[in-house]
Amino acid sequence: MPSASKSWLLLSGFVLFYIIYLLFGALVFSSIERPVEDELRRDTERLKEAFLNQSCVSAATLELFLSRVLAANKHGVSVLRNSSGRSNWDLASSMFFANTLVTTVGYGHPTPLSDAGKAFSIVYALIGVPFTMLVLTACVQRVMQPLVLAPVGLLQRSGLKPRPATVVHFLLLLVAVVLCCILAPAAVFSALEASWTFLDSVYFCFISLCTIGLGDFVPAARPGQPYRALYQVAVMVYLFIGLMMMYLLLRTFHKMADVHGLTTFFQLPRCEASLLGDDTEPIVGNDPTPPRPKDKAAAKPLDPGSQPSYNSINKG
Amino acid sequence: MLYYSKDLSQRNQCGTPQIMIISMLPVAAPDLLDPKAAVHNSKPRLSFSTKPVVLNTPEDECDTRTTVMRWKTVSAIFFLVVLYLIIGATVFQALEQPHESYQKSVILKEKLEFLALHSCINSTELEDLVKAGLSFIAPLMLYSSSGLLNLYCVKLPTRATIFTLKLLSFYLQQVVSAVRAGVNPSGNLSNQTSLWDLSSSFFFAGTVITTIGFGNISPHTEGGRIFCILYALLGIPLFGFLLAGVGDQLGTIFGKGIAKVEKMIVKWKVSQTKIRVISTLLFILFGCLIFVALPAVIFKHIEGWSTLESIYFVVITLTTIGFGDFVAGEKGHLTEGGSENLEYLDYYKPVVWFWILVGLAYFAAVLSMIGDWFRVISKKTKEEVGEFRAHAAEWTANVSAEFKETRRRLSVDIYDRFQRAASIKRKLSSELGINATMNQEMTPGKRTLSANLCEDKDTYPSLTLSLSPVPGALTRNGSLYLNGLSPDYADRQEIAIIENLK
Repeated sequence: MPSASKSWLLLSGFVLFYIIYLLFGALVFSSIERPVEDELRRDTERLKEAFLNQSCVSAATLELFLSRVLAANKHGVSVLRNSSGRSNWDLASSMFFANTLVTTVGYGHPTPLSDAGKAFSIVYALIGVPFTMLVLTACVQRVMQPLVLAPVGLLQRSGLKPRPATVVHFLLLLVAVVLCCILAPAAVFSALEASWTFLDSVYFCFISLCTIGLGDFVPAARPGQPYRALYQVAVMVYLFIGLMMMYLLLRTFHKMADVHGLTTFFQLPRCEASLLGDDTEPIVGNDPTPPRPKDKAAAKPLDPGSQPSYNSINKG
Repeated sequence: MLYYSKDLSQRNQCGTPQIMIISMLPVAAPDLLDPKAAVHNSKPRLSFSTKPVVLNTPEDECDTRTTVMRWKTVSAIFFLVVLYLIIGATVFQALEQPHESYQKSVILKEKLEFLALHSCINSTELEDLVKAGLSFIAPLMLYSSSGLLNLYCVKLPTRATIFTLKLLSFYLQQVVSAVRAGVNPSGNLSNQTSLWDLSSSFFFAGTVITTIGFGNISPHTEGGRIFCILYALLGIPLFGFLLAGVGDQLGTIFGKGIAKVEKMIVKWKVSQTKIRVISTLLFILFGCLIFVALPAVIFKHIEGWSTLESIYFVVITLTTIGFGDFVAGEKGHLTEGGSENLEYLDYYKPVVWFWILVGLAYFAAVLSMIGDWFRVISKKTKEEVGEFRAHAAEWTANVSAEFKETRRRLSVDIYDRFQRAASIKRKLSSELGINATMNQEMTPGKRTLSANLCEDKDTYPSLTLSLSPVPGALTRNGSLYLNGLSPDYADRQEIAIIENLK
């Protein structure tokens, strides 16, 4: 179908543009932050040398030394590593940083240190976050068909009624996502990172995919990490795919809720609630507003509020 | 990020058109990929509220009823979320604080041992050393402690001092692991604020369910981490509902204000688009003022950050990125150079959290607006390209039609003259007995005939002059012989072919 191939073209155009955006951010961050970092590292190295050449450590000297080290550390430069060690702002790390910025994960390691870097990251985030959202939803839209609509159709054809079919499918999808996007990568991470246990890796995967990004675990942070750039790019790809899967799960869940009429049921009290006089609708886990309109907007030619079965929703 | 993906066009039962609210569910970008969706999103949604300028009374009643209803639901959800946070805070505290206390006691012991053997630095200086050192150790938690030891291999002559240094190194190792556990080893045990007291745990639970995730505090025990996962699984959707409700309220409030302003402006006969643009600008302006500028000033004043850092903190927090290099309300803990606990007002942290809640709703609206603009831009570009193409096609078609028309007229003209010339010739030849060289003159015409007919076979209905060999007889069939030169009767075959091309 020409329109389908056109959509694929558009989608790949999107993704390509997204990658270009990340690269652009990486270049800018790298060029802004790296000189600052290098200079600080040189300064603190010199300072450390001077400090070590003293015969006795007096409190005052130590205090001075430490305050200088602190200032350097505020810019992410550690005096602990070898000066020939890796930078936090080479191209791959900057791209990784840009990626954590636009996906709003935000580990916090590294962080932009110079004022210019901070100002640029504000602007970059304000543009990049909605753009990333767009790309993600476009991708999810594209995979809805093979991953959701087709299997449900298959299930229905093999004899299940529509509603149980959607539930079965959702559960299967959930299990698949948990296996592929959390447990399997966690195994890989715990193998690659020396100090992470399996639980730590699961914790890291979950915290990253929910875009919480606490930052207590950050991959590729070990000093002697081999193939660091490749590792970081791989983690970026993993993050993107994982986020996509989370969105897909969310959408499937809400479509399922639509099919089961949960959302329509709970969206009743709009004007009519005052007629019913009922103020105590069940609150836990349900809100009238979000799920219904989402699918109204997403289901293109259908009327708002009418969702007979999501197999009938236009397969974009 | 999970909150930001859509703007909802919510059609409530009263039928008031689209009030945009924020929700946590991804609305696809089908507009870009599916041309059919262009129908659904025909107008760029520039304004936060797209209520019509004229408000009908029944809709007003409906709206007030809706607003009241929603307000109650929203506050109910709000209290539920607060309850959830308190529960989370207590559980986190229960899980993490024992570990923290254990680390603290270990550190204290080591410190006392060190002080007993130590010669060069007295206790206050050691305090300063530790406090200063911690601020840079804390963010470097990820690095190995052996590197830390290298830092302190100061060359000192005596064996005692070497021994002291080794103990210092060991002590610093303990410091590092204490810091990894979230413990601040400086100061006495008694007057120290725990990282996991109730208000800090509450704040931490808040950062988890809003997916901001600063990371300045994070769970270190296994139980804490597992509980964190489960907590987030339930808390994030719950907070999403709250956010949707708050966004709803914001939208309603703003929409009412805008409606009033629009009522005034419409008297000045400004176009609808201009009103939309103005309302969007007002929305952005007021929102920035209330949710960005004002808090930035407050943070700058209370936390002592620079202007850029305050704005940076506001933006990074409200987009839920949450690096954690700047955190409001955490100055007393492990920040660089922070040696004293700032005396915060009691209600500072809850106010910060409330600001985060409302600011998140505002930012979600702004970001969805920006996303909308992207969509509109790309759609418009598509449309414009399509329009351009359509224009170009139309233009070419017009030009070629005109061209053909001219040629047709010309060819008819030429044909007429030719016919006259031919009749004159026939008269002459019949008088003189000369056979006309008409055949040869036909051939170039025949060739161009078929070529021209192929060209316009599917665009315009054209006139046919099918020319019969009988002089003077013109019949119209439906195909156009552009050159107008008629074939002989010997070429009637070609006429048939040419007509079949239509």
